[in-house]
Amino acid sequence: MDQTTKEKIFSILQNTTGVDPLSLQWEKPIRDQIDLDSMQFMAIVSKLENDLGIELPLSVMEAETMSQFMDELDKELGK
Amino acid sequence: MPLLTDYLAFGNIHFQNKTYLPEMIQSNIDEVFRCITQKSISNSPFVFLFAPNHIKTVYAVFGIIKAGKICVLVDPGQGKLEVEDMVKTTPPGAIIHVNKASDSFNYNEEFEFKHYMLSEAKLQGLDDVCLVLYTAASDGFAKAAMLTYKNMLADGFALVHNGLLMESVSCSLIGYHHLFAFQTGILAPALIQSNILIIDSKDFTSLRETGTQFVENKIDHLYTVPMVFNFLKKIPGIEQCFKNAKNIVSGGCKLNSHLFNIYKDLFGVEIHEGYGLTEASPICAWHRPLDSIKIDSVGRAFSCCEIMILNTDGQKLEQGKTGEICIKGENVFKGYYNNIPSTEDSLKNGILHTGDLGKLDDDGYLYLTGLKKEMLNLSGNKVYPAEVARLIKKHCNVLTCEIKGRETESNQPSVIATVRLRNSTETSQKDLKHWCRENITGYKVPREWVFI
Repeated sequence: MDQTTKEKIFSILQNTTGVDPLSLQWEKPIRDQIDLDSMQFMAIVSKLENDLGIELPLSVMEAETMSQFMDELDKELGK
Repeated sequence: MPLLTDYLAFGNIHFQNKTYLPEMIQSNIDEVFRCITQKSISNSPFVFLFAPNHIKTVYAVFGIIKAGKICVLVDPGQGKLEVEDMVKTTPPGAIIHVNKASDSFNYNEEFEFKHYMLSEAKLQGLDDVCLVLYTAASDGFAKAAMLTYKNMLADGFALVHNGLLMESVSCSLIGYHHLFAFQTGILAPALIQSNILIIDSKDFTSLRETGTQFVENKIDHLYTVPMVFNFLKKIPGIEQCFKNAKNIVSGGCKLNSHLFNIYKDLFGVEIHEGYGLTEASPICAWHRPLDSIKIDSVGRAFSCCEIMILNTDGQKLEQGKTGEICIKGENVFKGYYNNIPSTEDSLKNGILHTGDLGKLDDDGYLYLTGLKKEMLNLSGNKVYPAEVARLIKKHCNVLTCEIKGRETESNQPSVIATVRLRNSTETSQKDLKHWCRENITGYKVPREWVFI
């Protein structure tokens, strides 16, 4: 994943959650650190799909940690 | 005065891999009824129910109504500031917080009885009201929309007559605090012994599991918003669920034609789009099961009401002309509690003025073209800029606040706050954002901030 895309993703996450992704502990569950329900998480993934112009698989929704989430995005963007 | 509960005839409810039979459901409703009847210490008819999609929400709603009280359906994620406003407007005799960890109530912990007393004047005209939902905050203040049992039955039976059968299984994948979910996912099926599948729309930790539940329980009536349809299609094996589908309905916000076509091509189902609002109990228009689908339209008038397009002088416009969408019928609400000016603005001669703009075609199909009211629609969640600005101004460091929506690449408006602080530093800006997340309902909190 190139730096520009990474920054775009971080900016989307920051704008949608109000939390700087770099301030999170990447190996701990995201939902333990940010108060997000399934609908809000879906809204984030939808925004990523729209803004990045790609269709994301279910595995992105199932990522528990920030590391897993970024890995899943990386896989899709690399296709 | 008949109660809404007099019309109930439950089928089975499936929830978290367990089936609840009608007698079990009824016995739990009766327990809630007894608790409220025996323990109420206030003359207030209002009972706040923080309503997750859970079997206990079903017990609580109908237990409250059976006790002759009015159920105020509240989003479990509702911000503290909005709840404070609700308490001022409709002081509750009791507050119920559903603990999702169990399937029966611990009454001492989940029911809180309050001492609020209402004057005789404030109790007038509430006899036939069974539900209250807060909405329409275009002037900055959410209003308590009163729905009578006749309103709810009119819309509920219209839904029944549009293809709901005793053997059907319905599921609403939206929070039950939205009237669309409550009506389609609970009330209408419960009028004809039809079956219900409850899925916690805020906590479906695995969409794959949701798909399995759909298939195992053979749901054939599904109601949700476009965003969820976009995710459901990704579930492996979900096509099984749509094999016997009778009604797949989208509401809350615009369904795009791309998603409609994907469902048609992949699964052979047509998503039926509808339109409604809380003040109309809530469905006013939709593509009925036998209607041919017109993409971009939200269907025809629901069988319990008439849709008319009026100009600013209140005159009916002919087909094809754009004006305000107005609704006449038994599903039209009673008014806003203790708020005559707002009621008179929305209800004129019994006709509901929705604040939405649209037009009808020659076949009676309705097309939404815009809004008269100032509101942003975030995937079905309605955000009123005036309300958000008012709430943010409650923070002691805020001098001015203006809220606007900005169209984004994804066609989803983004909520932007332009704020002037008394003392503006990086820390105080962060403090304000944090305070908003702590005190205001999540989806209303601005995602973009401009400090001036």
